[in-house]
Amino acid sequence: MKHIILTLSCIIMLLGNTNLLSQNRINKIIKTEKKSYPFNDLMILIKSQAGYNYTYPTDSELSQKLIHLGKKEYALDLLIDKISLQLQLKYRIVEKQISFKIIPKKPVTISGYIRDKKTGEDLIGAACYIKELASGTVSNVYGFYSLSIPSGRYTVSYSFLGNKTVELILEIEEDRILTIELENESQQISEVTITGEGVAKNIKRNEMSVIKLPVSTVKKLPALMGEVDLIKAIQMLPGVKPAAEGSTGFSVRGGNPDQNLILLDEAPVYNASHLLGFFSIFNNDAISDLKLYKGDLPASIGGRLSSFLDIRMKNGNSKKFSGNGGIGTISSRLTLEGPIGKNEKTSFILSGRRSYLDLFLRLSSNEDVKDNIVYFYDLNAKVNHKIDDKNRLFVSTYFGKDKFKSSENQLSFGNQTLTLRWNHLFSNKIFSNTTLLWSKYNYELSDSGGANAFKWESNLEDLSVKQDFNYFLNSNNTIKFGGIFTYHKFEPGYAHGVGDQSFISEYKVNDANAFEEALYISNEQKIGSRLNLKYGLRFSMFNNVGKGTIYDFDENYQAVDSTIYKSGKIFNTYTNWEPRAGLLYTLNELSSIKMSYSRTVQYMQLAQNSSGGMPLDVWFPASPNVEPQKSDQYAIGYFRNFKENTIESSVELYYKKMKNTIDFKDFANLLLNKELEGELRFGSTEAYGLEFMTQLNLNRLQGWFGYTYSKTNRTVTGINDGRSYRSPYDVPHDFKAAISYQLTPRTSISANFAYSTGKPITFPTGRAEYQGAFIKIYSDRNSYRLPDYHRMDLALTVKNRKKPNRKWEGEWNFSLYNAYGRKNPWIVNFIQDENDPKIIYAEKTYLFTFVPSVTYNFKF
Amino acid sequence: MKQLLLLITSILIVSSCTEKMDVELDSTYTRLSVEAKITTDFKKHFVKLSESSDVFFNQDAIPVTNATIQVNDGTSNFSFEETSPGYYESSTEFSGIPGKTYFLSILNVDLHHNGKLESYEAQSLMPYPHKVDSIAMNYDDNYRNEGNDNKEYWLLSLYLKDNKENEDYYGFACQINNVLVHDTITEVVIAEDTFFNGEASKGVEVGFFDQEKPDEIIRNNDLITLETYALTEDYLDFVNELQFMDMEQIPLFSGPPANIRTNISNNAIGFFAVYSITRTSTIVKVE
Repeated sequence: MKHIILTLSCIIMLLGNTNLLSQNRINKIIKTEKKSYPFNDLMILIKSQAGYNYTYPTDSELSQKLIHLGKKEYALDLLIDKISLQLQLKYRIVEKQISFKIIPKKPVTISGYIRDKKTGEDLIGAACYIKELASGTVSNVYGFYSLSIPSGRYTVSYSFLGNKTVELILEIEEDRILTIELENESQQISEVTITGEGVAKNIKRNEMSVIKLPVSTVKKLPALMGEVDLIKAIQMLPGVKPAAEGSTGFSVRGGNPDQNLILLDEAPVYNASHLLGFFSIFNNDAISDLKLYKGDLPASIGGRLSSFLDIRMKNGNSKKFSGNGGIGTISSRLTLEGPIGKNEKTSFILSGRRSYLDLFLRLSSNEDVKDNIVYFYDLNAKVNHKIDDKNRLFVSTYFGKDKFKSSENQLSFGNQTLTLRWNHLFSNKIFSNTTLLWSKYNYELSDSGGANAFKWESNLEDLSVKQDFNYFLNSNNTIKFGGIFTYHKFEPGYAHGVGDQSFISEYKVNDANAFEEALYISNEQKIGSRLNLKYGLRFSMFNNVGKGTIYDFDENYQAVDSTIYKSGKIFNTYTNWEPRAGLLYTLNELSSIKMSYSRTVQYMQLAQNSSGGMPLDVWFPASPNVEPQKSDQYAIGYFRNFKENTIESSVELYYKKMKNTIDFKDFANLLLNKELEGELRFGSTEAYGLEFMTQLNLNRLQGWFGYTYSKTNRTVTGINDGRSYRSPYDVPHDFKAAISYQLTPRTSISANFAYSTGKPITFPTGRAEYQGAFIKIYSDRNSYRLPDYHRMDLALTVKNRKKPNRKWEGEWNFSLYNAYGRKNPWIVNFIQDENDPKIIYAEKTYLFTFVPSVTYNFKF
Repeated sequence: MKQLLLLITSILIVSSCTEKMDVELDSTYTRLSVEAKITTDFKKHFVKLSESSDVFFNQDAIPVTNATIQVNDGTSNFSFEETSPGYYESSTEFSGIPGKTYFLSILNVDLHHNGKLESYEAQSLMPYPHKVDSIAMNYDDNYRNEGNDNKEYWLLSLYLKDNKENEDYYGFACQINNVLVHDTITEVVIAEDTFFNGEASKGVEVGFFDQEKPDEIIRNNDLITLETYALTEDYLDFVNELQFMDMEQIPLFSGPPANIRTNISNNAIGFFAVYSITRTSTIVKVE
């Protein structure tokens, strides 16, 4: 609250000041003839036209300094403002006397938070920009910004995409705390476009291979069964490929799906999928911000090779109680948020979603399907509390579950996360965040059928403590440093019989424990007006900790011996230096060149042999038998904006070399296998590609389109006879577009289109008879391709007419997935004809042709 | 596990469709396909040789004739004669002896019809037979089978005690009135004792009679015989891989397809299977 008062008083003071001055000297128009005047000449001109005398410090070199003018006439007050801004002066007007003073040059800092005016939500990545210095900064993930500058009189603008820009003229002589609230752009279509300014622009940010998707844009796009899905939207970006049709798994620049670090409010999410991957666990109503790093990972992030998906939950409306939700084809959602108490210090959000597929199954004529239970739900909750100006607390949690149940079998799986964060300002230059987090993924599987009755459980748990500092040293250097410590607990599988009838004995895959630690430091440094360097170093360490069992394998990958380590004993350690670097060179106001290099190391991975992945897949750690995976990525890009930055386009070229790539032997047994490590094969991966992307942020037209050409090959000892083969995610040509267009203030249409080369696949090239069946003889790994993939989805959103005096706003969303009914093969099987066993034919299985859906969304 | 996959896939089946499609496949060179078995039965054992073919070859496999085949158990030598094209029988009746290692040699094969003769070898140990206590037949009018249909089934329950000391590899197939109905390799039920080591089997179902299949229909007083095979680990893996590749692949679960194993040298396809058989019978009473 103090902030707000402070902010308001600043703004009032400013306004007041201007008013005061204006009252003194209105009606005076000064006519100018030249485009620039020395100070003295201009003041003489003013004196001659308006009769104002002036004084200024005589020992300065002020008198000959030039003032540049754009117009032929100025109101006197504006002209004096202009002079002050250009020459960094402050002034007082008493009677007809203007006295100028030089603002003493000393370093000052403006800092504060940038928030949304309507909801009080932190705006992440909002820009604070000072025109006169052509310098600025962006708010961090907590909405905090800090900018150190020489004292002076400046035009400071605050902007954020989708919000109105606020521009202030400020005389900054001392450190200032300025918390700014930006108003949402009105829903009406206006002819004026307001866009990101200064450092917010793509071309001015020293980060490449990074895409920030506004949740509002994603919501307008067509969605499978009407379930707006952030991960599905991400899959529409260049450089990102779905792991399989309909799957929420994704491959970034040739990486594997388990090489993406997905953090929800900083807590890792180990399985982001519902319903076997057809939907992701992220309920868009609870999400405020989404950013994908396809490379150029910040030094603060590590532990995965390919990408980092940063998902932030909303803080909850701190201004008033509100809600929104939706009733969809397969699920319904409800989100409630609002302030707790009266002083805007505390707010909460509670968001839930539940599917009701089982209700449809109940309509089925098949008696057995009828009794099946299939559902998932998500619950997001968050509370944030501002203790005072310098301290803020956040508690956020996610809880989700999937459940499948038939008369005899049951499967449930889900993630749970809990994040506790404390923001503290040591000074207006040093922002600190302390995080305590817990994350868990587990599943349970059971069969109650007599002799087969069993229960099978698997569990993965993380406990971390993390400390991050942002040190806004000066306007040219921003230093980030910190560290993280994580305890990983792996309980990959424990199966046992249930009841006296069961013949199944106990089988337990050995538990494993590990510590993962990292320290990092990075600096982003501006050199001159065009060059910006970013350099950082991350030191990471991984320890295998007892109690643990390690098998020794012979050259045939057979376990020959095992060693049991005592509880608490660190018996294996890996350390790595991970340098990260980036360069930005601004060519001009509309274009820049960027380069980046990053080394990443991954210490734990998913035992996933199928392309799509399933909920039973387990994570396993690096160990004496499994070296950590490493990746070096180099990228260069050209960035160009058009139409006053409403169109951002880029082309990036990347090359990636990955070491210690893990693949699995043929017919690998990855589940409930104590000797899992014997199923692994090691090698390397090479990936390169070219990505074009254009993002549109015009008034009516929004969205993006992109094209990628890329290649990814693996070479792994023991697979494909050691010859190099295509990665399962090697899809050379990939074109995607996701566009929405506002037809009228109440209706918008949108479309997705994707075209890509077919996925690599291994096909049989021969057959041999064996005891009534065929043994198929296969080609080299992944040497064939499925037919090309293409699909178009359409959606129409119609808002209900807004009724005055009613808070309730509703909209209908009609969506059609795969609008022209393309039968893209999900898999091709070679099947022995039942009627004529001599014949084998190819059969494709395809999913989702023409899937229409209707969703009603509301807010109040 | 299979049941579970069925449960999970049931939801997919609602939304997926299949359609025949044209695929152009390359040809690969011809390999020798070998189906060879030595069991503990006292009989004339056989070896079948044929050529591998293109995937869409729509005729019976071309037999490989005029080969010279011998099986040796370290003490005795058994020679084989070609009784019909590609089908070779041992000249004498004999039974495999548990604990002995059998060697198969196939000579004088002109697979590529170029006058160059190839030879092939394989070897396998004969495992000791499993002891079966008893079997029982149960009727289920609504059994969910692998195709996810619910149908009438007769199920065969097995009672035995697994040996705790050994890693045991089981195979099961059933006879009705002395006719083997689970005669193709994909119908054989296999299991290893990883998850029931040392346990009593407690009537787990190992025989499945689909009452819509003419040759599996059970009538009152039918004599049902369970053949319990003691397999080598290698052969069990072979059958497992063969059955896995015969199943329809699903991107969620299936790893990339791959060539299945063989224990025969010189790039042949197939297996020299050596296993013990235990037979247990019961008479069905249909109420």
